[in-house]
Amino acid sequence: MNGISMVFQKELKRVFSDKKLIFSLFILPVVMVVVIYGMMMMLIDMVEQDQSAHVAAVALYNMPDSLREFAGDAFFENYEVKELQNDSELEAAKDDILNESLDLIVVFDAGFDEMISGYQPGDAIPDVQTFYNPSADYSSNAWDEVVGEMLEEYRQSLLEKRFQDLNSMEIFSVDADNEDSVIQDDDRAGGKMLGSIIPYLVTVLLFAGGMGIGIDMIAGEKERGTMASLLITPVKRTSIVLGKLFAMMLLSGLSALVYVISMVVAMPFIMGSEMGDEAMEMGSEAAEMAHSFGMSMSFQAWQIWMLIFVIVSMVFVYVSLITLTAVYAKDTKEASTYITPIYMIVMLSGMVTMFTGDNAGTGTYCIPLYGAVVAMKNILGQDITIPNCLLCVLTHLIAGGVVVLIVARAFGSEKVMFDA
Amino acid sequence: MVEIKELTKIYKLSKKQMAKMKTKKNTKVAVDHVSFTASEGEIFCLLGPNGAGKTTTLRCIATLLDPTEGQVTVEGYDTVKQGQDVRANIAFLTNEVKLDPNFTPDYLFTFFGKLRGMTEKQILARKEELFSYFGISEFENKKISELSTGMKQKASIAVSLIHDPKVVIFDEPTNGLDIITARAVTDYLKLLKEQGKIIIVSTHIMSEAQKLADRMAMIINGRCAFCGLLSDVLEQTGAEDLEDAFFEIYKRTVNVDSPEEQ
Repeated sequence: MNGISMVFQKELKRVFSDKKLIFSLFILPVVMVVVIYGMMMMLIDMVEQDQSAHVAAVALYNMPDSLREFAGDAFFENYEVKELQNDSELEAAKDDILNESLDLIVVFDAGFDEMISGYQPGDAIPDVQTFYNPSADYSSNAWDEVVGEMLEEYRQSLLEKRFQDLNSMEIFSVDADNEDSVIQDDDRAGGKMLGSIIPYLVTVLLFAGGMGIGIDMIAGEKERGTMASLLITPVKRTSIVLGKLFAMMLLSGLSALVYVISMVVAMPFIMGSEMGDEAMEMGSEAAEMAHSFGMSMSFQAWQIWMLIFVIVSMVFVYVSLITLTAVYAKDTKEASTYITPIYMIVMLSGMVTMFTGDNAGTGTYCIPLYGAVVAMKNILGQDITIPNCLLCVLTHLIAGGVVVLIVARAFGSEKVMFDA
Repeated sequence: MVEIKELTKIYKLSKKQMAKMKTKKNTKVAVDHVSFTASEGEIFCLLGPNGAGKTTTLRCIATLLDPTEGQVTVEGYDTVKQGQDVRANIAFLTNEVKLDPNFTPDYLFTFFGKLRGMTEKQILARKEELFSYFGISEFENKKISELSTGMKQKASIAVSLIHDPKVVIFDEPTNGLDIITARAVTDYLKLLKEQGKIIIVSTHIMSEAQKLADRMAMIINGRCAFCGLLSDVLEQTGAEDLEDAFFEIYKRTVNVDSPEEQ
C-alpha cells in the first residue's frame, strides 16, 4: 500500500512540476475552447455583419402595382431595385446573376394584378419566377429575404383580401391554446437529451487526458531510463503499476473537469463579447427552447453516485489500456502510434450511443468500454436498473484488473522493460 | 555473499538485430557459464572490453534480467525466486538507470528512502552522511536536468546507497567523471569495503581496477577468462601491471576462440 501511495504522489508531483505537462493537460484545453469557439463566433459575426451591410441588387420584371403598394418605400430603400423593361434586359440580368453583380431577379406575369382580382375557381393562377445564384451568399440571402419573407407576406395579404376570413381556409388548428400538450417527466426528458451527448464528450475527454499523461508516465519513463530506478527497489511491480494508474486516473479526471468548466465559464463571455445583443437574444431563445424540452432538470442522488461509479470504473479500464500499450512501446512516439486505434475504438463507443435506442440488455453492460457508455447514457435517461449498473461497474473493474496484472507481468519482463 | 554459478544469458535476437549484427543465428550468448563469488569486505572487479558481458552479468545480479541457465544468489536469496529480497539488499548503479530530470536530488533521495520503507529520521541521517560526503548539499535543490555529469553521478550514487545495503553493485561508476570526482567515488568504495560490504564493480579502466580490486574476473566474449587475485594474474602472465596482464589474457583467449568470432 505504501508503495502505491508513494508512486502516486511522485507522479502527481512530477506532472505539477512539469510546465509542459501542465500546459498540455490543463491550459491547452481551456485555450482551445476559448480560441476555437471565439474564432468561430467571430467569423460567424463577421459574415453576418457583411451580409447586413450589403445592399442586395434586385431586378424586378413586370412588378405589379399591388406589390409596389405592399412593399412601400422601405423596399426601395433597403434594396438596389432595378425594374427590367423587356426580355433582352431580362437575359442580360441573368448573366449578371451568374457573375454576381446582381443578386436576384423576380419575374411576374404581365397581367398579375388582373389575374388575381378576376380569379374564378378553376382558373390558372399566375406563376412568379425567380432567378438567383445559391452558391453566392449575397444572392441566396436576398432570395431568403425577398422571396422567402416579403413575397410570402404579400401572398398572405392577398389571401386575406380574397377570403376576408382566413379561418375559412385553415378549417381547424392543432393545440392552438393547449399549453399542457406535452406530458412527460421533465427530468427524464432532459436526461435523455444529455444522455445522447454527454457520454461521447466524457469518454473522449477522459481518454485524451489519460493518453497524454500515460504515454509520458510509462513510455517516457522507459525512454528516459528512470523506470529502471523504480524497478530496482523492492517495491512490488503491481504497486508501481497501480500507483501510476491511480495518478493517471485522477489527472485525466481533472483534465476533463477543467475542460468542461472552462467550456461552461467561457461560453457566455465568448458569445457575449462577440455578438453583443444578438447573443443575448439567442441565449434567451435557447433557454426558452431548452425549458420547453424539459432541460430544467435535476439529478437525483442515485444518478450522481451511479455516474461516479461507472465513470471511475471506465477510466480505470482506459488508463490500464493506455498503460498496457505504453509499456510495450519502446518510446513515446511508438506509444502514441499504438494508442491511436484504441482511442478510435473509444471514440466510436461514445458515438454509437448517440444513435442507439433506450433498450439495453444485461449483456450490453458487460461489454468493456461500450457497456459503460451505454450505462452512462441510461443513467441520465433513468433507463437502467441498479443491478445492471453494478454489473457494469464490476465488469469494468475486473477487465481493468486483468489488464493491470498483464501490465505488472510486463513490468517484470526483461524483454519489455530493457529490450533484452 | 554473492554467488554466481554457471551463469549463462542468451538473448533472442529480432530480425532487425540479426541484420544489424550481420548474423544468421537468432540468439546471442552474452554471458557463457560464468562463475564467481564475492564476499564481505571485498571489492570484486569485473574487467573486460565493451560488449563482453559485464553489464549483463551485473543486471542478472540486480534481478533486472533472469539467467537463461545457472543461478545467482545474493545473501542467500535467489535472484529469480526472491527478487524482492535481493533488491532490498543491494545498491545498483548503472548508466541506464537514471534519476528523473524533473526532480531535485533532495526530493529523489527522500522518495526512494520512503519507497524502501525507511522512516523520516533514518532518511535524514543518511542524507546528512551521503550528501556531505559527496558534496551534494550545494546543489540538492537544483533539478537533475540542471546538473553536470559529475553532479548527476554523485546524486545517483547517493540515491542508490540510501538504504545502506549489504551489497553494492556499480557498473562503471567513474565513467565520464573528472579525476577528482572519480577519486571521491573510489575512495567511498574503499570506505564501504572497510564497513564489511560486498562490492562488485565493473570497469575497463585497468589502473583503477589495479588499485581497487581485491579479486577480479576478466570477462571476454561472455566467458570468464580469469578469476582470482591481482598477484595471481601478474604471476600467470609475467606482466608488470594489470593492463599488460589483461592484454596477455585477452590475446590468449581470443586465439583459443574460434576465428569466426573475431
